[in-house]
Amino acid sequence: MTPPDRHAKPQSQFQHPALAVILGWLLPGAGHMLLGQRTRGLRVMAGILGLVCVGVLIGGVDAVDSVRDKLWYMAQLGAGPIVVLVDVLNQQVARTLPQPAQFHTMGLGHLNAIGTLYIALAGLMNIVALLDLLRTREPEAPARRSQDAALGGTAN
Amino acid sequence: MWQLAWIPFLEPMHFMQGLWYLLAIPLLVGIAMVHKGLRLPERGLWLRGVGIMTLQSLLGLVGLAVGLYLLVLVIVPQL
Repeated sequence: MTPPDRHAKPQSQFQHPALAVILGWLLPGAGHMLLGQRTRGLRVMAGILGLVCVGVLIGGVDAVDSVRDKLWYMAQLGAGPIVVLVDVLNQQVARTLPQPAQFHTMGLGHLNAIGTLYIALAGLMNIVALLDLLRTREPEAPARRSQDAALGGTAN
Repeated sequence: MWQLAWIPFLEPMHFMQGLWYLLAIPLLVGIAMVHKGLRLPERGLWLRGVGIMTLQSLLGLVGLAVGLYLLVLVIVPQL
């Protein structure tokens, strides 16, 4: 009796990768869960949302700014609607505070750059995760992942 | 005393301004979490992979910093 391939990706009956991509953008990791890859989805979700949360923690809501940092904002948008929510908070709440309080919400120097970078990288990594969803049905994908596992799980 | 008035997620962590380079570590952890989550099989050693990739990336960054320091402040002035 052939033992089951422990590295094969569990496939759900759901076969609409386009819908999984949309769901994966709305909530990072949810697309993988929809396709039956629950653990992978949770790991991606933890990574992406963790990067966004730490980025906002470091840089404040000013780390997402669709007005002054348009190019960065485009990269950040990959992380989904949570970025839009932070931008709305920045534009509608933080920018409307009285002047002394508004000064405290402004990111300056390294902190603004690093907070912005965290969220931009989260967006770009989520785009990689969305592309991975489209590749899910290709037959060679599980084989490649098995090779990674054979290398001790440390292949980059 | 102004740190006591810090409101998380609304105001930046101004008190980390002088220690900004330490903030690279959680960034590398987050990148490794997503990368290893996608690359490794679902039952793979994810945490081990994340730890190793974070260390590798950190060593790479430190190596680049040391290399650039030597190039700019030691080698180039001697040319």
